Amino acid sequence: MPYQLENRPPDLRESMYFPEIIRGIGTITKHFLKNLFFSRDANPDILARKRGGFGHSDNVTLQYPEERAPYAPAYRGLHRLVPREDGKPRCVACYMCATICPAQCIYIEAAEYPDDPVEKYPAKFVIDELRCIVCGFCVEACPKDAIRMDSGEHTPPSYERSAQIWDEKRLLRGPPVSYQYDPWLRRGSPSIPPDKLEEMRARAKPFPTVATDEASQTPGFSVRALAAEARDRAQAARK
Amino acid sequence: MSEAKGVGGIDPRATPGSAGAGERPPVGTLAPAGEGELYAPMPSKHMVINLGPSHPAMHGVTRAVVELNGEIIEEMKLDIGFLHRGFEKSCENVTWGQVFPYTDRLNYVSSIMNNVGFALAVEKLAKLDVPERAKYLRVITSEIHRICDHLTLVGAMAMELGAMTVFLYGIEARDLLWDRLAELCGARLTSNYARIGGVARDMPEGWQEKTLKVMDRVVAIREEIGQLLNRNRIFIDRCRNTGKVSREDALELGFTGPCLRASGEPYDVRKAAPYLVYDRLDFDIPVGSNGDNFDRYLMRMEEMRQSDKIVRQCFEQMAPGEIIVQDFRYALPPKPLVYGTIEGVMAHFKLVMEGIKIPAGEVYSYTEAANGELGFYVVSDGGGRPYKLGLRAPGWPMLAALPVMTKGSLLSDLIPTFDSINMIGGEVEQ
Amino acid sequence: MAEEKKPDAAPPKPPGPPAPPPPKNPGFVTAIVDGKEVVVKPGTTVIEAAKAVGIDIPYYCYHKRLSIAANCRMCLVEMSNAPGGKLMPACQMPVAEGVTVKTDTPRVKDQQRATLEFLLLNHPVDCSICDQAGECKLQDYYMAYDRQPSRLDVPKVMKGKRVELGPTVTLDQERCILCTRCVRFMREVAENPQLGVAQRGNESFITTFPGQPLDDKYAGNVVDICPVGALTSTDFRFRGRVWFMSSARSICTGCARGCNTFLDYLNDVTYRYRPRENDAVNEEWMCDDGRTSYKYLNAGRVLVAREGRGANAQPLPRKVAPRRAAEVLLPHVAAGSLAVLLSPVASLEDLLVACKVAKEGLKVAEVYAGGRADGWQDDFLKRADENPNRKGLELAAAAYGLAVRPFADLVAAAGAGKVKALWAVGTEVPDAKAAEKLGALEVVAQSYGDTALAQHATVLLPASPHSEMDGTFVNFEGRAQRFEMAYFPKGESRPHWALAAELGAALGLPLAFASGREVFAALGPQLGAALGDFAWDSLASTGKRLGIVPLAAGTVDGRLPGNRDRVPSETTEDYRRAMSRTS
Repeated sequence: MPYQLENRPPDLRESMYFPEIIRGIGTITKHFLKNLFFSRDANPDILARKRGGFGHSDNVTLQYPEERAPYAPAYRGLHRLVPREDGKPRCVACYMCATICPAQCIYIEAAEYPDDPVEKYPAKFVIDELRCIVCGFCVEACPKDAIRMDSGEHTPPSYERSAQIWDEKRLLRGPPVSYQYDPWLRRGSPSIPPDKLEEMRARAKPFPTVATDEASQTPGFSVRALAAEARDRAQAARK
Repeated sequence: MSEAKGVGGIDPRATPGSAGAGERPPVGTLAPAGEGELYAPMPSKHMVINLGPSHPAMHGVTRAVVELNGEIIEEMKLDIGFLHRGFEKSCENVTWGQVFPYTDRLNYVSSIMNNVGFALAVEKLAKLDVPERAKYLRVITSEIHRICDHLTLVGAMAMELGAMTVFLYGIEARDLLWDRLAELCGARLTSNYARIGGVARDMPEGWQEKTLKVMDRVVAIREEIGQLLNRNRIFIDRCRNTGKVSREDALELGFTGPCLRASGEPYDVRKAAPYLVYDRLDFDIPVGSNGDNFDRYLMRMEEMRQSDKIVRQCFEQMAPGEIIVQDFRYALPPKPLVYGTIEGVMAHFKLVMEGIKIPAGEVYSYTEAANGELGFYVVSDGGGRPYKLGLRAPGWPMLAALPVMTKGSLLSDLIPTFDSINMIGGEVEQ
Repeated sequence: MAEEKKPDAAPPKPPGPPAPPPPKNPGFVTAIVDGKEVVVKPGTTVIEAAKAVGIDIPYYCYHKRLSIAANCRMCLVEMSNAPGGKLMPACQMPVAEGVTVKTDTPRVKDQQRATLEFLLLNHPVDCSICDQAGECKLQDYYMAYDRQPSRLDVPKVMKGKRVELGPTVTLDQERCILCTRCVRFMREVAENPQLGVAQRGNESFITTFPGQPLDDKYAGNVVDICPVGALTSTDFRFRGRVWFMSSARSICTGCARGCNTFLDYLNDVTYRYRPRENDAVNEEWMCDDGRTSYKYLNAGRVLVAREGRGANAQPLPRKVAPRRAAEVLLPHVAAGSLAVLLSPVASLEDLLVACKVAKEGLKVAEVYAGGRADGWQDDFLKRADENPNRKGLELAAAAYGLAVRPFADLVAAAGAGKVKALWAVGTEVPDAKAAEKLGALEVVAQSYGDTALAQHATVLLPASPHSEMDGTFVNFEGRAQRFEMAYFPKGESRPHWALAAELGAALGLPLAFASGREVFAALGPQLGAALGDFAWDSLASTGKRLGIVPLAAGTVDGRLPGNRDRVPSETTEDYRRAMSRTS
């Protein structure tokens, strides 16, 4: 039901300026005192942190760059090429990410493994991070879970444009990921010693039956944990 | 005063300060002081000043050439196009699914509403029905972004009238909401959340509780902002009875959305032509009476209240289910199928290489965005790329009406007027 | 007299079935396919009849130039004359008079889905690494006719993954759907049955005889006819994705047959040739040598004009080069010690302008024909003459009244000292050693690549091959065939006709052409009726396919998208600094 807005001119009390101004000052003084002595941030992530106690303002200023704001698992950050257990990239240079990227910032050159059952790998995988619009389509388009944007940071700043062009050596980092149906685990690979193959098969993630975050994120790899570790390191350095 | 037209249609013969004198002396002559006059009229002309394009109050980048008679705006000419990036043409170059990042950057303060608007247009053309849970998710995220948009407007409006504190309170509230959306969509601003046939991701664990807590906090902040501004004489004096648009004028000028409702016409697309799940939700339409800046400001505050109501109802009504249509013609197959089955990976490849094949035809689909009626006119030729996209930006009629709204008012009234129509450069100039 | 016993009269014949009604169109067969009436010659299969009215019936094993196998079961349709109401393979059944064929009933659709499901049961999850993605019939038909998720819950059959069948073809036995097109092609078209099916049932796979390679000269065609990614080209393997590539309609320059090709390119690199259908010239096939004959378009190209030989070579600015060339040649024009060497690899337009300049600017009476040396010949496609335009050279020379002499004569004349300067339009010569002897002359050479003769050039002008211009080749039968431009000339190279026109202008002839079309319009009439009814616009306007073109213009500072030319790996200070962060 439509209802009318309260658009009325100021009455006598309000026309005298000061009552309302005092009321406003009261509001912001309340905030001032809260800031000074108590925590005021209502972000549930911040509230969940250990509070500082009376007299210690739980100031929510993060000491960047030693402390970082934790990224949510789904929050898109800088790309990484996901490695396998044996250090090679999971990427098979299928060009899906290069095709779907709306900014056309991915350049790939494929090459062949002479012996690995997967056959194809990227000899060159270059992302121009300056052109990237951080849309996450490359992650959606990858049929091998080979590229993720879960590195918990955005592109670090640099003085030259060329430093923002990330090639496969810089992109290949982070915890490895394996699934039980991966061909190098099913058929074996020359780069995996046979005694370790069974152990890797046992460690690999099972065939996911439902498409959740768990299917595309590595359990145990927590950006919050990384941020906490960085904070501890910074604190230790300050002591 | 329209006989002699100088540069920009400005009359070089106009003189100020001669109110009540009757005949205006021509430029260049010094008339002697008449009986009872305290001063002799000096020859002068209107001042033409340039507001923008780089100007804190010119949202987006807009240039306004204002002809001033002292402090009174005689005429105003708008110069836009500084943010034109060729959205409509760029979208002809990409597949249907790749259009979503472009739509993100239209109304960049409430990007999910652009995503959803475009997705609805394409689904209308393909006659595709979206799963229930996806509809609810779209409504929830749209309304949260509507709250963000209104917070931005209220904050910016207050800041430009001098109330810096309110701006920061608004930003705090907006930031809390953005953090929640970052957990859901993957980005705070450029959300890229809707897909053809549904949405991209489902709610993470615990997201609903967190969001409700955050929305409580946003309500508290909104109440504080109201406390600071609603009955503040300075604010009321600046905003009340300035930038007035009558109901008939608003309809003639093509206003939609909060600006139209503030002028007295209770038209809201969510009620008039309900889409998604708005017909199942209980919310009211605030309507203004005066059509001035203060009404438009109050309108935004009340709409935030209604959006909050909508989101809470959606959380209650939502049931578990799929978040995207399970049809390989339109949606990428779920990742387990892509990793493990040939059918999944083939469908995935075809959709990425060639794009979703939308049947040939054309359709106009409209939704209620934060600023008004956001319309997408979509033409498909049956292939995987749009043939033509046309956009009806809700901010366009209001921006175009600005010279009418500000004619004869003071220069300082231009600022709240410009703020309250919420012109977002990204959507107006595409 | 005994009565002749009449043999028992055969009982009267029972009345037979009624005679079929006379055909609706005498001499033809009339049928109804999906409600549309189609009139075809007797013996036409249903699949061809349906194509004639625009109805596409899916198929894998059928190929119009091969025998019929009908083993894929994809083309099954409802026919009113089917025995027992069964679905019949449209590729095998000839059209009968008055039959009604339905290709879009639920029964047919179920059958298509079921066939695809069975074909995909053991198909490996290889799209990401398979070169056929983008031109794979399984992908296309799956999206058009199936789209059901998999119901398989057991592991798939494993077979050989990277079998090097021969020098040009790689086989992936798991991807094969056993349509046997390759087997039938080798047996019937290449007439060299090197492929066969081994084992049976689930375990069947394609293979050669044990220990024998697939080394036929036409083996590359099995890559084209294989509907899936089982047989792939070793030369093209993993070089790029086909949906990025655009196709230009071109002619193979490997021999004088002039097989019609599609030239697949991306951003001024040619990736491969595929045969284009032309019933009169090459049907739908190409030889393997022709397939790999594109390499000179990319590698070893001369892109800047230069002057001087060996260590003295200096680059020449583009505007200066024709004047320098004219300066080198002019003294010998008057003295009559100038020879003109034309290459039959150049196009007809190139040679027409060259002949005009030779006749009227350089005042010679004869031209020498270079070209690559003769190679092997067979009775199918390949000709011994490995130059695409020798006939065109002869026609162009005849049009201007110039005699054509063989290359050996030029070597002799140079050796005898009668020729002191040479203008070479194209530097392909049959004898590289002889080119050394020509090095003693003053040579102005126009060349694509850094050949032996180009290295001895006094002035070397960079030329564009057929991928970078529009033109015509005339094959050994006298058939003129158009080819179209794929990408703009690389570097500073220009087509031979442009270089020759500039040289002519520097010599005082008023020649200026903006395109191959203008050349042919201006100089083509000199040929008279030699080309028959050839028209410049004989290439149909449809047929050129554009790939997904990257966003234009590259990055802000002019690099191509993706930084093909500047990919730093470990060199910049910032990179080192970035990698040394510990968090």
